[in-house]
Amino acid sequence: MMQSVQADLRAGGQADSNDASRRRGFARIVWKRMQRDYFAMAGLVVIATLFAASWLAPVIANNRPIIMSWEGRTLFPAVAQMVPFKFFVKYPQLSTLDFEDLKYDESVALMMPPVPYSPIATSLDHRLERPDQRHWMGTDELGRDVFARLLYGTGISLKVGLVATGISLVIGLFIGALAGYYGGIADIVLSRLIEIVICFPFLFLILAVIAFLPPNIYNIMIVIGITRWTEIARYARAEFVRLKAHEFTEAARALGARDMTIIFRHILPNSLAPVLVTATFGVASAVLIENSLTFLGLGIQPPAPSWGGVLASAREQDFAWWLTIFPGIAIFVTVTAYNLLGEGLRDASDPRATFRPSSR
Amino acid sequence: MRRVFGPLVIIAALCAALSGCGKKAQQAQNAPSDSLLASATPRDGGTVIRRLDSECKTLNWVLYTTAYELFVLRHIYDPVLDYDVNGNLVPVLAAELPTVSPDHLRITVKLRSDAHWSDGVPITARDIKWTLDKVRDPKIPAINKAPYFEKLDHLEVVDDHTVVWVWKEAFAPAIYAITQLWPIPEHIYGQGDFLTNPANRKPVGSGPFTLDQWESGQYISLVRDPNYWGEKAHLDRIIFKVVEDDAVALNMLKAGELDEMRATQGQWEKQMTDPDFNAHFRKVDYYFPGYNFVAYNCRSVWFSDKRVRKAMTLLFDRESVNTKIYSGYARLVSGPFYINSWAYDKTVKPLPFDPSAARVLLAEAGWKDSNHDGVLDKDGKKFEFELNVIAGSAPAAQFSQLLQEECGKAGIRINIRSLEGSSFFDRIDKGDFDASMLGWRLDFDPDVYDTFCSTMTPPTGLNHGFYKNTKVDSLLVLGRKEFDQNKRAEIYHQVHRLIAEDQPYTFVNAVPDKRPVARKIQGIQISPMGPYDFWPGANYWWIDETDGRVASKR
Amino acid sequence: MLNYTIRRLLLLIPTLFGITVVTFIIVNLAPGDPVELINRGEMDARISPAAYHQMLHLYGLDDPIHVRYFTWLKRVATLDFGTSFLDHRPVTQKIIERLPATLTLNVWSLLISLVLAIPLGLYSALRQHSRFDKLGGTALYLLYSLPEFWVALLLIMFFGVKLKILPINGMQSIDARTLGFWGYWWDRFVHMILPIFCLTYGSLAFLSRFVRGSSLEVIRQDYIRTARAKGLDETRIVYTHVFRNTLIPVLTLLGLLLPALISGSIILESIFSWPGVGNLFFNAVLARDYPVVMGLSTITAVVVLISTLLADLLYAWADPRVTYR
Repeated sequence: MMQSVQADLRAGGQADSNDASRRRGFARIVWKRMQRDYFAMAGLVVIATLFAASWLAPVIANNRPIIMSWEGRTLFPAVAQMVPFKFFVKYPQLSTLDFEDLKYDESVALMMPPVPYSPIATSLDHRLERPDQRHWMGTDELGRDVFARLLYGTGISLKVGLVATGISLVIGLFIGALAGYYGGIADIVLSRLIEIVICFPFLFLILAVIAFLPPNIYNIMIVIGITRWTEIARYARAEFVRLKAHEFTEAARALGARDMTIIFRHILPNSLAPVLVTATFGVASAVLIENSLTFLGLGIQPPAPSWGGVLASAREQDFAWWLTIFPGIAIFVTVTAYNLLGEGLRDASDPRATFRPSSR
Repeated sequence: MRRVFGPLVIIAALCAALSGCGKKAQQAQNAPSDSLLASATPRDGGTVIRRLDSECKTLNWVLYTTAYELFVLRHIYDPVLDYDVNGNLVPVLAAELPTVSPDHLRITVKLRSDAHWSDGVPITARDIKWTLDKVRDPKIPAINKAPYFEKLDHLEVVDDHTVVWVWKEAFAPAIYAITQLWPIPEHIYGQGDFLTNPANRKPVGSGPFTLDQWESGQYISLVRDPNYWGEKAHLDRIIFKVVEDDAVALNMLKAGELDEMRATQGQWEKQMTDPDFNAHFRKVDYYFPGYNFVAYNCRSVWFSDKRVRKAMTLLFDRESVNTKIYSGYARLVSGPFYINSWAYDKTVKPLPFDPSAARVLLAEAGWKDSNHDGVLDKDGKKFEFELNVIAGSAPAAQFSQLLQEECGKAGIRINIRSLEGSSFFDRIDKGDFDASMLGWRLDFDPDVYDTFCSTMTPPTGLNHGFYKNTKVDSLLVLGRKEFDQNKRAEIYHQVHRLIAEDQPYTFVNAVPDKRPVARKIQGIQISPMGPYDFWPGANYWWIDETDGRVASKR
Repeated sequence: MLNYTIRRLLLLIPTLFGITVVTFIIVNLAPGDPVELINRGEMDARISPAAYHQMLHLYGLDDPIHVRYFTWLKRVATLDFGTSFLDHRPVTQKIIERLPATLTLNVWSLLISLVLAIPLGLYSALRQHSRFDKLGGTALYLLYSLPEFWVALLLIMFFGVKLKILPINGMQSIDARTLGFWGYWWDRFVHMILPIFCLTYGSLAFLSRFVRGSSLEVIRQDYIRTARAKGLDETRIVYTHVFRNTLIPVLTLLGLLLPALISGSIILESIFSWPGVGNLFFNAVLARDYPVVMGLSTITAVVVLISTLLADLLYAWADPRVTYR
């Protein structure tokens, strides 16, 4: 806190014009401090790995070869399913091919992905197999490889969690900050709005959305996002109410800083603690909500793979422990990574922290 | 942060089995490996604990809506007429079989003089009339029962123990309809508001058992009525426990807290095979009237051509589903009747799995991939449609994905739309769908007029897909008027052949109910409708403790 | 402060009104209606369109939505929530029947969570970055990640089937009433053990991390440093200063915890056949039993409004720097 006040003093109160550079400066400071927190960095690395895995999924697990020769040409069918490529590389000659037959044909498939199974190709002869050499995480009730499904589901789960929580964060922080800072009429109106949204019948909203809109995942994320921001708003409001009475706020105001500056540069970084905890759990919680919805059939439509969907199969086939353990591990890794990251962010952005590992 | 949101298992294709009529003997296929029929002498005493998949909302016979309520009601109330274990009509509250006038318009039923309610008041013809009036009362939501009596003109009470059912026209399912009217006591329900009568929670009935306790949402306990007018039951108590979750139910079964339950396919195959389990439980499975199918909207651009509908069936590998998902515990179905009934034409074989033949048919119908995008099209319209399935039904989820995959290879893109019950039925009742996957539960009487007649389209009837075949229409009308069963069978066989040719549905399969039952229970009989929905049903089970596990004290 | 409180109390009415309007609209958005579903209890019922519309009329479902809303509102003004479409019993009776079951589980679970989470969180904050902090946190995340239904089933299998020492279903045994006073309550207690455990383990993670976060905030404060500099005994610092000030943000949790007390966990109530409010609500949603849904939503709304007010007031009382204009 001393830093930002000092900076304001130096600049002679002209906080506005140098806002951008100072915000960059704050971000850089936070980043530098986080780098020394090994656990937070570990969390970041894990999350980055998850994103990379979801991007590379088509070449890690696929029943199409990475490289194949077909009628004299060399084709890259697996690569062509990856995100930038799938929009402009198309192989119409392969569209009716049954890749299950070609999988082990040496003359055609030159290189198969390490996990030669597709997440959506069913195989009724291999239903509910336990984890073994072929299927590292077993198969589900339609014979699909669980590892492949979890891998492709990573993208969906991450997206659901991040987008839904992102929406909640943005709305929640904004409304909470305004309500807490300005008080008075703004607080009254916004708090009532918060109360109304808390009381939304979430289930009916989902039912209505599912029934009327195309059941794609973005609609679900948005519904989760716009109904879950109230918790964050409540915490943010409470923090703002508390912090606006602190000395540094008075000081900043005395220096002539504008309201928006005070809110975003001064109070907000101090208020993040409960918000961050909520947000990091929110990401995992969104995945678990998606699981419940998919189990009810209201979430991601089959055959799209999702962690929640695999858990839903687990519910039906409760003896198949691999259908629960592996998604559970995946959720656990995600929750832990996000929480470590969140805690690291909180510690690094805490202006009062004298950062020393195992400090008291 | 609490995950306040969670699933409840919704079971598709669940509903009351409505007893039906079959004049010939119908024995269930798949008889269990050891004999269940009563061989030793029954002993009195003991308790049987049965599972309810969901709570009973009411024990009012006119207002009930689910199969589970019927389980309980069948012990508390008696029918006038019902079908026995062989599918033959038998009198229960009636003194004898009914007499039918030669023009089939008047059916006379005589009641026993010794039948009485559990409070001692005699059961009279007035009770029957009163119940019927309630069923047909527009202010009472008895919509499950009322449709049976649409063709009824009126009911005459000749004297205290005789009624005459007078019909508007000669109606073959009339006898069956009569078996659906079980009297409730006028002297109890006649006072106060019918819908909120306390007897809905504490019924006064006519059956071998009476209600002892009802802990809402947890269990219902019935006890043997020592004053029952007929043959007394053997069991001291029957307890119905509410267990919604299948996995929990299996655990309770193994722990001795349940004596029988309905099992899922996965449990049946994988968790009920060890010797210890078999030492304590019998595995009882049986077919019941019903089948699973995919309905097509015959007015849509894709499915108006019957070749396309046939191609869809050819693309669905039902045999694999049967052998691999059900391990042979299901039967393929080729038509709209119960496979064990006389109306089913066994010479009509289900279509095979033949993707190349399907492709030929699709091409014949004009569907080609003209722009090479992997999806068939015709006149600029892509072959891409929505398949509605009921949320929470594991078989529907599996079948739909299998169908989707195979159709994808043939150039048909299916988008699976999983909808929860209310939304699903809303759509289908309005005829607002492309294709839907669901199941029918049938009456024993094979009249399918409401389902396939072209006048019974939404919102009037159950012909959701707007199927129209005038020959089928006239046959269905004839079937309702024909009283000779052989001739009637011939009519329905013809209907079966025509519908199989037209494929308004893809008929998928009939899946038997699977129930593990504690070995200590004796006297279990299986009718064509299963072990419960006939007379006397489970009323005369008894316990032989030496043959199995002792009932748990809980 | 008093002005503020009075203003807030007065605002309750219009807010409640607004909530019920919004809820009513959303609830009616979802397709389907109860008549259809009563119909569909048997999947072959053939109801004629005349009968269908008669039914709709009986339930008042063919009126336009604003008429339906005002009919409902008029009744609610006399505290009559109507009768359920499913079994025609009064909604109030159905809710009161089920509320104690849910409350029992939730209150006990909350108490246990708080009793465990606060020391856990505090200790983690005091020993920040230590092995206890990191490993403890990780263990809690592990608990949080395990799906509720799976843990419940595992426990049921272990304690109910293998060890046979705990009951696995329902609130009481079949003939519990014959067990005598102590026998009866012991029976009820034993039935609660597994559900409460399942309800509690998941919230431990969040609560303890939350407490940890707010403890860290407090520890950083100058007055703690001063206290340490003064040479005060560490224990005293923790109990007198850190603990109490940590509780202040926890008070904002109250605003969310109280409404959560009357909302039941649908999964757990289903698995344990626990006849609570969650189960009631969920089934009402699926069956489009509007009276029950609206009744429950209204009661929840009242609790939400009161608890947010309470949380705000408590917050102001606990932290003297906080004022509301």
